[in-house]
Amino acid sequence: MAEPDLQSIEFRLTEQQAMLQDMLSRFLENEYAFQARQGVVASQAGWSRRHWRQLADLGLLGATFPEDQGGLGGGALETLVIMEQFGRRIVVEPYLSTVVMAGGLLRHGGARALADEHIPAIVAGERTYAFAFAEPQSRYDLADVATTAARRGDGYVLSGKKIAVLGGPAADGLFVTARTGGGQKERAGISVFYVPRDAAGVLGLDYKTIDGQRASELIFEGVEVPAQAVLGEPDEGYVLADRVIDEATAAVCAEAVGAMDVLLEATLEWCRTRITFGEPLASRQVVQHRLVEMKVGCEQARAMAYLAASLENDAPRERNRLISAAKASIGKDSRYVGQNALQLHGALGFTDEFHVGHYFRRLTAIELLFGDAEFHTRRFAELSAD
Amino acid sequence: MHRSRKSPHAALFRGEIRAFIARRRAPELSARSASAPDRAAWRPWQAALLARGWAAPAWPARFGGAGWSAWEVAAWNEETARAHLPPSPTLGVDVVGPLLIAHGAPAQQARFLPDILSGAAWWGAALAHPDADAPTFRRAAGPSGDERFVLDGAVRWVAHADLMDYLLVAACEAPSPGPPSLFALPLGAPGVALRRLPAVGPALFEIAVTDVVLEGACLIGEVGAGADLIAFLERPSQRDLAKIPRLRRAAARALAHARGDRDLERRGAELQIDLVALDACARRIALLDRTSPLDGRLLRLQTTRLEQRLAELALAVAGYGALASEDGPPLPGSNLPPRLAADPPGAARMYFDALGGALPGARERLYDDAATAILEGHHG
Repeated sequence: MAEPDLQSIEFRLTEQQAMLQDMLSRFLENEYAFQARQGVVASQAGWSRRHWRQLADLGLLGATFPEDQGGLGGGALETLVIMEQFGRRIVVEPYLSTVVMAGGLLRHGGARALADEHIPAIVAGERTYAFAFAEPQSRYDLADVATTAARRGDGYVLSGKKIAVLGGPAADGLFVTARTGGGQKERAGISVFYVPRDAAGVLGLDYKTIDGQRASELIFEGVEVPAQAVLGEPDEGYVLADRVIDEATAAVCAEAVGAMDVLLEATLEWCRTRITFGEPLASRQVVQHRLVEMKVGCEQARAMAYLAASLENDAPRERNRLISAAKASIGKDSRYVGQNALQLHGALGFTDEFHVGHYFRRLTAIELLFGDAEFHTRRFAELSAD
Repeated sequence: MHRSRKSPHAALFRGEIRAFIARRRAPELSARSASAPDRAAWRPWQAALLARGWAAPAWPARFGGAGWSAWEVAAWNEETARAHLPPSPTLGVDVVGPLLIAHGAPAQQARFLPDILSGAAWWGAALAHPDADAPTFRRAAGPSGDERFVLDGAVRWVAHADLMDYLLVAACEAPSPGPPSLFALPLGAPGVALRRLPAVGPALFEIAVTDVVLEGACLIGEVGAGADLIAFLERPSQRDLAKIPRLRRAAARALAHARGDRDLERRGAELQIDLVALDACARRIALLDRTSPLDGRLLRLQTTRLEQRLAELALAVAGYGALASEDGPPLPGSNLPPRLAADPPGAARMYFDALGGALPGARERLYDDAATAILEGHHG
């Protein structure tokens, strides 16, 4: 057992982080109430450029970028604050794909020219991005990359298929993992490329996800990119992708906490006031005990989200191990909270005009993102063995 | 003084604890003594702690405690778990001390706290599920007119009562039962009789209390304040926090014997993840200084549940090795040298003990009380 593995977790926010939280919470309360959110989801694009610009104006899109690139210099705890608030309102704008994933690749990628070109566009809310890493055969294994990048002249030619590209339909630019060497499941030989969305040979199938968001399946048919499109060193992209996916995992953990809290609050209120057979639901002991389990789940999830947001300085193996603990734990707890919120509300919980079902859908999607509880339990076990 | 939990201070602090434990720990203290506590084995360790000023990690310094902050106490808990030191077998330091510090009269503090610190007095508690013949008290006057209390009744099913000097008990005033009051019952007082009941897990005791005269200092808080004091005891305590790193260690040890068995490894990983979550939760509660009984109940609910799962895992890992009783020497007629037939030792004992672990605040009551608090809107 590695130790002391939880010592450095910050379980509280700084004054500035608390101010950020207040500001975002107020903004979403005014601009992103449930009906407004439903309007955005039903719109043609499925997200709102107006809201995106407002988030940029509030400085939120730059919160986690360095100050010399127009950001506010925040880190994982700022991401936690923002994602938790987004979870409380099930926000559909492409923050995860653009700021957390593409932004993370640009921040850690060590490609100054790409960072200088794209980070200001993210911070200003002018462009959105997506990270294409999953493939039809890869399941949750980031190293299982069949997409190839063959050298041609000074550049590369990309060929292959990517699935579940979050935020893909709206993206102006793509980051893509592709193999520049090694065998299909090897960590060595993977590179991360920047590809403009409108590059010749990029074919896309855009779709709605189960939680009202948008994603794409992408096929790269001999897409030519220059050598400068590589983030960091060629063949060494796995380390970068792994770090960014861990950060994205921490981000959705925080988002889940926000959504779980709303479901617990709604379910408590419903059970207090809903009368069946002459008594409030909450007077039944079996219901009470479920509410207690939901509360335990929410408390644990919050503590684990802070854990996930405290791993920036850990070595990759220990970071992987604890991210897996957090994602597996939150996966199980969010499933419990989501299912019980839905079922204790009865048929109402299932109707689309009521908010609870939408939170349940989002929690289900989060369960599947970046590895479910099964995957992360297995990874935790492997990394815990000596 | 502000002491940062950021390294390097944290690393230095930990190193200091580690060196102290290595130098001063009593070799007789092992995981075994958690379920079969031995006062003689604890004495030198408690004396060493007292001399170092660490006898009560979480008490304020003016009461003789170490005055540590939450993260320092957490580091202490981790390091003592790492050294296989069992949690304190008496409730004195972790539970009764904080209660007396918060609610005791100065004279009472002066009377009881030093013996708790030195380990001279061990404390237990019997507060759950009062029976129909639970103790009642009546008031009486002492020789110099001081107020005394006379207790009558019975306290049932208390583990390790034979090792304790005092028991916290709740009693209502006779003849008209009002709200309960909380007393320190000296188990050596005339009129107290213990009956030992061998049991699954540690032996339990039935304690008959007949006309036991208590001096005024044995009443904790005011007459009738028992419910509030019991609620105080339900807040998260050092006792709860000390347990968690030990469970994490024990899970790692149990799993070390299961290497190669994929099903057990898998079950172990799930348990370890749940223990990390519990650890993170408990740390958050401690660092934020959250003190609601609801937090204590939720922690205890999850802790007892995981303790039981851990014990079930240890039992599964041990297999046949869990079959041999660890009580007593080999039977007469054995002609092999004595050794432990239980291998690895402790699996069945851990399992039996863990089932009892949920009893002091029986799980169903924890659920009921937590539900009430949550529905009333105490969110923490």
